[in-house]
Amino acid sequence: MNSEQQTLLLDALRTLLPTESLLTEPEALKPYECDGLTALREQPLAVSIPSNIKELKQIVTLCHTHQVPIVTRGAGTGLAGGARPSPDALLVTLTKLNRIIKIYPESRTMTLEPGVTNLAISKAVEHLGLYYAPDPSSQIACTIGGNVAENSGGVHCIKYGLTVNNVLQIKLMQSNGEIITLGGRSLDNPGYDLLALAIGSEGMLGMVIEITVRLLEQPQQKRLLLAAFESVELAGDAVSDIITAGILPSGLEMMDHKTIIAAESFAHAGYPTDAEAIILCELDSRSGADIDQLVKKSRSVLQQSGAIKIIVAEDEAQQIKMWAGRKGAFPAIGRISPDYYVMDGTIPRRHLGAVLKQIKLLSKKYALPVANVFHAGDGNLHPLILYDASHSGEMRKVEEFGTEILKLCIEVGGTITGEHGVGAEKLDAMCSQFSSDELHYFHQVKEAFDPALLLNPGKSIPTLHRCAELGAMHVHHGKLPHPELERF
Amino acid sequence: MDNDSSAQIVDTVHNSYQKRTPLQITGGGSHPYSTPLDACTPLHLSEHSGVIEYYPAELTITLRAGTPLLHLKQLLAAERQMLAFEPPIFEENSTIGGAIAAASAGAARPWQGGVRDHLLGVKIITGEGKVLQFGGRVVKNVAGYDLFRPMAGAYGTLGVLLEVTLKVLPMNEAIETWQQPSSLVEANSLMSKIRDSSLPVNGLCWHAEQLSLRLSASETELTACRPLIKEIAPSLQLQVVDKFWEQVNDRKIALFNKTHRIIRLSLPAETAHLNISGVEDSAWLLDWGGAQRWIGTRDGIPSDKQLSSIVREAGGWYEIDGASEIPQTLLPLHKKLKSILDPANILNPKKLSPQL
Repeated sequence: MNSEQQTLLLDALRTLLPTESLLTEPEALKPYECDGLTALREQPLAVSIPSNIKELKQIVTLCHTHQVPIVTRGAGTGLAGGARPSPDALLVTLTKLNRIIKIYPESRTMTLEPGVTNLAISKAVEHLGLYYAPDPSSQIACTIGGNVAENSGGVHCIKYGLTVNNVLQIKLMQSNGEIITLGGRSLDNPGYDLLALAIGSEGMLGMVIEITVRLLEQPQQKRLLLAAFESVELAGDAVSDIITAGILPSGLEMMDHKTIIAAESFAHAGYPTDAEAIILCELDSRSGADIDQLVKKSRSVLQQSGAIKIIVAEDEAQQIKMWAGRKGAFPAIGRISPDYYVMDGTIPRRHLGAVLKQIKLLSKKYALPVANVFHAGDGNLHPLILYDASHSGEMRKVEEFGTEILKLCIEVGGTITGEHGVGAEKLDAMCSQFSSDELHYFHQVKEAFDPALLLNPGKSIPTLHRCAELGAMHVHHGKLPHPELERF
Repeated sequence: MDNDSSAQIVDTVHNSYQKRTPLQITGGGSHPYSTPLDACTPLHLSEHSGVIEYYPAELTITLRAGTPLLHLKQLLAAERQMLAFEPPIFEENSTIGGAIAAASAGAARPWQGGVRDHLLGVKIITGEGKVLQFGGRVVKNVAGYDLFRPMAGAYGTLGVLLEVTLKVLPMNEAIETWQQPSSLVEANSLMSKIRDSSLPVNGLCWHAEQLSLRLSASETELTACRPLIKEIAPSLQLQVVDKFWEQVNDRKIALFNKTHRIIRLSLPAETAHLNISGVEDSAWLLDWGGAQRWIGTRDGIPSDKQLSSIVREAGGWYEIDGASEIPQTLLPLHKKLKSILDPANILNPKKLSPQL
């Protein structure tokens, strides 16, 4: 990186932006050192906070002229380090681009800027009886631009899909400042589905500067059931039983004993603390007419599956309370351990028992406790590794442990990330999930969209060299994953 | 039924790449637009069929691309599950690979999602004969760029589909069809009322002076909907229909008679009726609650010029007999993506668009 070019860029930005929109002093950069993955920190070259698209375009064009990379950031709630800065790159924060551009009640869509928070979307159309379905647990703070970059999920995606299923159109600013529109207001579009390709690309292919989302009608009725089990395996089987009975809950969550205890003492949600596992099963009904019938059917399935206790929330207040335990599970764990590391693998649910058993063994091996939170309906597992960052060497142990969990997810036919993304965190695990051929194609796609490789460099897709150099490479079925590469 | 011919298919693609001889990929060959491509050797996928993995409790199924849709539908129905995008089944031998390549979705599309929304992963052969996997076999997966959803609607031009993993859903518990005679103008206003209502719609179309509404929910909910139906559209009558929706989906109605030129408009559903001179009301079929509109006409009417300004203004696009235009702003990216996955342009050349 050419430091002269960096200086020229910063000089040009000083002329362009008002003082409060350009941060260059170390103490001002401090809050931007990391996103939601606090274990990975770097100081950015500088932070720019454009107030409108025109300013953003000027910033991006300047970076292109001086060939200085850009890391784009929304609210910084991402859990995989997708917005982790780099000392060579300008950090561009899009939180000020937070206008709702237009609401179209007749088509149940809304067009907005990337800095609008996820929850603000639903709030803005509440009076129309509509809402935006994907609801990552950080929804109060996370932005729609970040959601698109990460293809975020949430507890309701079992029934209502991920971000990619709820976004109709985006405008993408490319690294040369040009703007392209992907998708449209119709249900399909001519040519390749570049919209799907761009969603979840972690800021590597372009900057999302405008989004049109699909809105859904609020269901008239919701009910929440809690079922307690004597083992996580039984609870896992119960989840499968619900689904094979033809019930599609709007949320289907599971927690293990350690999480139950922590969540109960944190949120006083009314969880049975003697249970080894609990399931939260949310049912909704469009008109409300069949909600009691759905509750009855679900309750009977859960009973048959060996639930030792079933609680049906009596009213909305109790529902909120019962959900509060689940939604507060991460901070609750934060109270019982100085630090915790969130994993995000997805597995075919039929392997849940075996995977949890293996995680327990690994927990012993590394002498680090684990609590498990599970988007059970989707098979999306969030093991939380508890540790103390002040103990020297412990972080390294945690990372090794995490990598083993992700390999386990791949071995049973799952994936290294269900909803948090790869970011800066799971680059090594990507080497286990994809062949070098596949990674090679990913790099080519990156180059097609961003030929100068200026956007979020070093994230999401590992270099083939990195995979080859990895000491702890995954050997799948006795085959070395990248046999054509030299080993160093 | 259960046959793995992937090795042979990979060989064929590889050889074709070496010799630079273009291939025309065919599944059942039943798609209305599956006309022969110039100077292409056929690559048949219908022999490569069978289910690889189906666990109803996981809501996923992995199968070979040549598996017949009819077989798949029956297999899922036995577990009371379904493909929510309701793929048309043009002929008995129509394949799942073909449905994905053409992104074919039926009447439920606006309410239950399209092919892209239910595709979870693919195994493909690139134009160089390399076998790659994108996506996965689980419902939630964000690792790597999404190179699997673009396979839906790519007509095989980005890779030969070998295997696909799909999300399946519990079957709709009960279904009702309501119909009433209606003019095209009247249908537009009724459709708008129905779309805005809280009815559990999963089909809404108009053709031949008849509006048809399909509702899908539990029996209890359907019964509870009756007063609302009476309020919105008092003339709607509950009908027992045999294969009506299949005929619309599978393009078995007279409008699709091959002597006509078939124009498909994809529009925001709320678009007001498009007055196109020379097109009579009887030439229209409105489907997807107005988001997909078909015109069957004589050659030359309406002209491209007439259509393009009207349709663009409405925020949509159109295709004539399957051919559409990729927007100029996106053409460079299309060309790059095509050249990455098929550098010698041997996979269904010009099938998606003559621009590629």
